[in-house]
Amino acid sequence: MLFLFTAGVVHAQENAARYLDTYVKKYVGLKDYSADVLIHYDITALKAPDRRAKVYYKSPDKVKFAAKGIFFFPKQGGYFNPAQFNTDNFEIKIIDHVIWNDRKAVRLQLLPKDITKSNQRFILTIDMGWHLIQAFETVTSEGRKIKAIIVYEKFGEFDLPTHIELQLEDPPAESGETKELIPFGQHTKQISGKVFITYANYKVNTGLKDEFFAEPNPELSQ
Amino acid sequence: MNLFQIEVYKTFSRWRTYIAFGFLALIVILTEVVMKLSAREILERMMRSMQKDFLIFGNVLNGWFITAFIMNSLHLHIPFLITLVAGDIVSSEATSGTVRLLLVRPPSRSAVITAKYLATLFYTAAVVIFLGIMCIMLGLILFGSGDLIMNYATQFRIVFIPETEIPLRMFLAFTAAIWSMAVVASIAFLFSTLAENSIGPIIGTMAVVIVFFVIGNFPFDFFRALTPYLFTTHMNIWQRFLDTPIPWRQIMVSAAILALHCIVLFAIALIVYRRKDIKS
Repeated sequence: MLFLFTAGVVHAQENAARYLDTYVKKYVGLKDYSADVLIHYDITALKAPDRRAKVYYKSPDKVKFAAKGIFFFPKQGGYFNPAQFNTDNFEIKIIDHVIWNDRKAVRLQLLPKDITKSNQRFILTIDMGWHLIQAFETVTSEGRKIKAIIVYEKFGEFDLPTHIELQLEDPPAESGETKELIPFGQHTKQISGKVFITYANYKVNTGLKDEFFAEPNPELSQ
Repeated sequence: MNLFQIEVYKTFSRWRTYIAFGFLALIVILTEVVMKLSAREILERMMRSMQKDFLIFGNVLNGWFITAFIMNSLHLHIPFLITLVAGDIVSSEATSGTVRLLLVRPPSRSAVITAKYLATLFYTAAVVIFLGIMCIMLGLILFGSGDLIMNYATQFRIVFIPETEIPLRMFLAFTAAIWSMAVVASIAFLFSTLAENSIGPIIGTMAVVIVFFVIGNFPFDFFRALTPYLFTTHMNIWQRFLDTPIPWRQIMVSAAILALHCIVLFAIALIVYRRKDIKS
């Protein structure tokens, strides 16, 4: 009986991993890309005009930005990195099956296997036909919730994001919590709101060198 | 030379006048050098909240930011430097025994007091402009240029001003700073017309500024009702030019209240001086 139950659990996990694995394998051929970025901030605590930059990515985890002037870019979910969700790094569970934009999708929960590196959990909504992450949610180690909705377009053989809508949510404040003041007038309070990121002019697999990512972030020319 | 020029000449002939300039130069140089040496620490503290969620690129700790930072730290202290001259400009004539000599000459008392008031405002403007030039020039040399990130701590807001807009906004901010410092100068000037020595007006003005600041920050409803009418509430008018969008309505209200203070204070000084019984 116990054997049957254990076998069932293992089978369910394999299925869950399969959805993510298909997604990761879809982008195995994506070695690098560069794209123009336009970022719009809809955050009460941050009054900033739209900013432009250029992003450079190289698999599995190298990223670089070239921006004109000061540029804030979301740490989580702002740029496309399919290698981020390697199935070897997560315990994966199916939460449920849903309809996302009139298409069948599955929601997966990802828990990191090695919590010494990161204890950040993810919930991914994956289109079952196109094998694309349409949305994700994550809770950071500080209790911060980040949600993303991703819109893709075809660039060569790859579906790449053209629009990412990120929602940053403050963790709920505990009753009686007071704001901590630190020098230079900055509260430790976190920022909540939305960030809209538009990508254009993708250049894929141009052979970006590792050394390029070791150099300081360049200033973007006008 | 007309009366105003004579008063300006007299003001800038006194060593006391240069205390403010020397003090400001020292503070600005010290602050900017220390900030240059501990730039990383300052940046980490400044952007702690932002860095949790955002990667930050570009020269955040630039000359414009340093200027705004120093102004933010010093705008409560500059009034005391203004009083050194404004509190002395009329009363020193009595102290040195030159007031009779001054008033027996053809220009009327009104002309004399107006010229002294204008010289006081000129000195006030000179102090603020000197501070601005010191901060900006040294800041740009040491830290370079870039967009301006303003932290509004009490409101937990970060405002981003593009580099192209900053020179104009800084000009407006420093003009507004002169405007608010003119009120402090006017108070010291009024006290100077009432007194026969310089110490009283200087200490009296400091006391008024401190008391008004304290009243404005008391968390009681009675004082809160008074706050909008206190000149100290509007002394940070300069900061509004470094906000986005620029709150023009608030600026107009603050500018009007500050101007009203200047007019009333000068009018009282004029009346007092015209009726004053000169005994020394």
